[in-house]
Amino acid sequence: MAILEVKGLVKSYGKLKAVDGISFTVEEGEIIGLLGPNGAGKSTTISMISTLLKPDGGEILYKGTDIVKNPKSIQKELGIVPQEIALYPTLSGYDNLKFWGQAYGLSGEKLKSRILEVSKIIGIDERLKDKVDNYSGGMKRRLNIGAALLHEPKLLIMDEPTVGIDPQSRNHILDTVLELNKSGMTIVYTSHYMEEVEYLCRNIHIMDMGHVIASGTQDELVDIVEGQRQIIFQFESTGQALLKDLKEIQGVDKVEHSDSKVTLHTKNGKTLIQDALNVAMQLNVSVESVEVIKPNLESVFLHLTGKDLRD
Amino acid sequence: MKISNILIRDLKVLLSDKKTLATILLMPIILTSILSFALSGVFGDDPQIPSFQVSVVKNYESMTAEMALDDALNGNLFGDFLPDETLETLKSNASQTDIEAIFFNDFLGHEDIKAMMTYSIDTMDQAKQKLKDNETSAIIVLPENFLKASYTNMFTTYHSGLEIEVIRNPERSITPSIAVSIVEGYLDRMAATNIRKNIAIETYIGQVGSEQNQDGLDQTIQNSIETTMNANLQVSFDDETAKGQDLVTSKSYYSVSMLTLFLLFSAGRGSYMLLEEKREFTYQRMLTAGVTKWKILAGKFFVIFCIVIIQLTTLILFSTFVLGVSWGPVGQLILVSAFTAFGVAGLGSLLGVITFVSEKTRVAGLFESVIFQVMGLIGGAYIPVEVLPDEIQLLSKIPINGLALKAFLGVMTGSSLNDLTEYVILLLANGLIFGGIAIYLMGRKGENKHVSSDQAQVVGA
Repeated sequence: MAILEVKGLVKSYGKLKAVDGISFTVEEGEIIGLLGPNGAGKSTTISMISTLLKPDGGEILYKGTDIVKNPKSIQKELGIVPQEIALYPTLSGYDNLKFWGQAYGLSGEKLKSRILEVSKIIGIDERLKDKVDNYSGGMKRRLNIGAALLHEPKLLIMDEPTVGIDPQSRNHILDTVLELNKSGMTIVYTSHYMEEVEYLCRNIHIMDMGHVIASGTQDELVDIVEGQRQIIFQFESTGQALLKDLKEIQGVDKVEHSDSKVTLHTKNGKTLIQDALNVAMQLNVSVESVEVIKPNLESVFLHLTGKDLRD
Repeated sequence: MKISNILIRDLKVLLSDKKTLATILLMPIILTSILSFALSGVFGDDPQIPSFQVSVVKNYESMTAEMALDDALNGNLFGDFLPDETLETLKSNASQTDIEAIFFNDFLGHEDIKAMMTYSIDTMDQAKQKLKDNETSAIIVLPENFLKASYTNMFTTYHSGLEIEVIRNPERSITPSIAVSIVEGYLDRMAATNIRKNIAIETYIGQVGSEQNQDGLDQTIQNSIETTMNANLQVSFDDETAKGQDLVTSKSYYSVSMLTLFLLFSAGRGSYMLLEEKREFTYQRMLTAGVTKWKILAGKFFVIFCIVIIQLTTLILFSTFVLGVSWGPVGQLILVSAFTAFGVAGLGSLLGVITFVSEKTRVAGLFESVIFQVMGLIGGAYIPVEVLPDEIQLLSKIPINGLALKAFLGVMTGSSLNDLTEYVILLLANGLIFGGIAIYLMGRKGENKHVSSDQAQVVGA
């Protein structure tokens, strides 16, 4: 059952269309990923879903109800983890959680018990009395997530929740997201980190320039690049003869080189490596390393837009 | 979410900010203490002038009253006009008047003068040495004609110029000027005696006739001199205020003026809060939780109100117990405090919305660094408005700090509730008008915006 349906969403800032006809559906209990570089329109889309911005066109249905006309239908069941650390740094972790719990209508014993539960989930229960200013970047990010969990939302939207933190904290957050999902929470996860989306999400929507340029499961998206692989050779040296002979190998679609590094684009991996090594031996060129890169979401994005995700 | 939740949160945020506490509590306490002590001379406080010494140099020869009058009246119209008997009586009366005693005993020896200034009679050389050694504040030089001129001016219709020179000690700033003022006071008194005496003579002659009853003239002159001298020899530092109200001292004035000035900074601090919330994205986060912008604005209004009340309470307690300022009836004080806080909260809310809508902290900074200073000057924060030009005095009721200052001074000096009503109504009106404009602007321009770095890049692209 679809918990959230986004249909033909449009939002402009002056002449610039930040979101241009985006549509997707979120099924109850799943984690979907919105993947795209900065400026793709992810945050604008999230702002509209969270009722902060009114769309110029299209509609957003939460459990079948139009949230533009009835924003309260989603507000109390929605948890938002903004990209920014939206906390009060001079207050303690406890006071922050207390305030955000109150913002969602919690009070009394219920509020106290939820603060303790959430602080354990996000792993800051032993630092609750400390000022947020004294937290590490990772702890602030976790508290930022915790503030969105107090009222036990049905739908959790996380906008780049791991920006600027260390790998350990990132892993903690990713595991927390999976745990939350296992407990039945539906999650919309936006990121420009391909690895995170690959790790968490089954359904992924790749966005660029305000459009959804590809949607599907990870496998379905990788199929877009038709099994395209890259084989990267690090030679001792390169020359025109070597590049010419590599291009002539059967199955090589494209050859790129930079200094002594040569990348072969192909659909045929194994036999091609042997052929390339033979060419190098014939020309008496030493091979220092070989790397095979399988297609991934980065490749898909590169294939679809001609640019890197992090551009 | 209740407004009280936002209020408590905001109070915790503000009270955990040491810079804010220093600005709204510590700074006014320090400035009040400094200004009230430094500028006590501007007000009617008890004199704190250190006692000082002067040298008096007598440059005149001893001379009796008879000799002086003989000299003055011999061969002139006034002398010729008087019958011998009257002239003798006049000389006899004059001989009972001791000019030196008047100057040294009655005047310089007066208790109030002695409390400030003591004197020693020196030669010019001795006096100059004392001046050089910084042992005296000034040299008062009594001229050669001191006695003759004094008697002449007192007992005849003629005026003889009397100039008393005061040589100041350049190493001292205040006390030489006081010595000059005291000597001027003496000369003024003598001039007043002269005028009164002349009027009395002319009146007497006019009423009684030129040829008859001159016998009473000497008595008339004597009476007028005694009356004038007695009336003017009173030296008093007692202060009296209009309508029987209490005196405003420098401590009480600057306690109020600094308090009312720094109330503006509470409004100024409040003006950053909305924009800070927006920049920290807590504002947007509250909106996504269904908290309306009206509740958020109301929270800011009440937090400024509470901060002002805390500020008022702290500074009133400090000035009462440390500086000994009397703030007047508690009931009126609470009334004026509450309406002042209301007005300032309205102003702070308006500034907050303007800053929020403009999305520029320099708007609030402009108020703090320029506009509040001008409001402070016009409102009498630095110097009493009474000493400012008339045009500025007229403007002094416009800024809210000026209104609050007048209201608190009114409470201090014992004004009636009726007298305070004007200020209370104006403070209320300030709060309502500023608050109303804030609501209007927030409703019209305070749209919900969520600009993340992601989006900002899109917008900026």
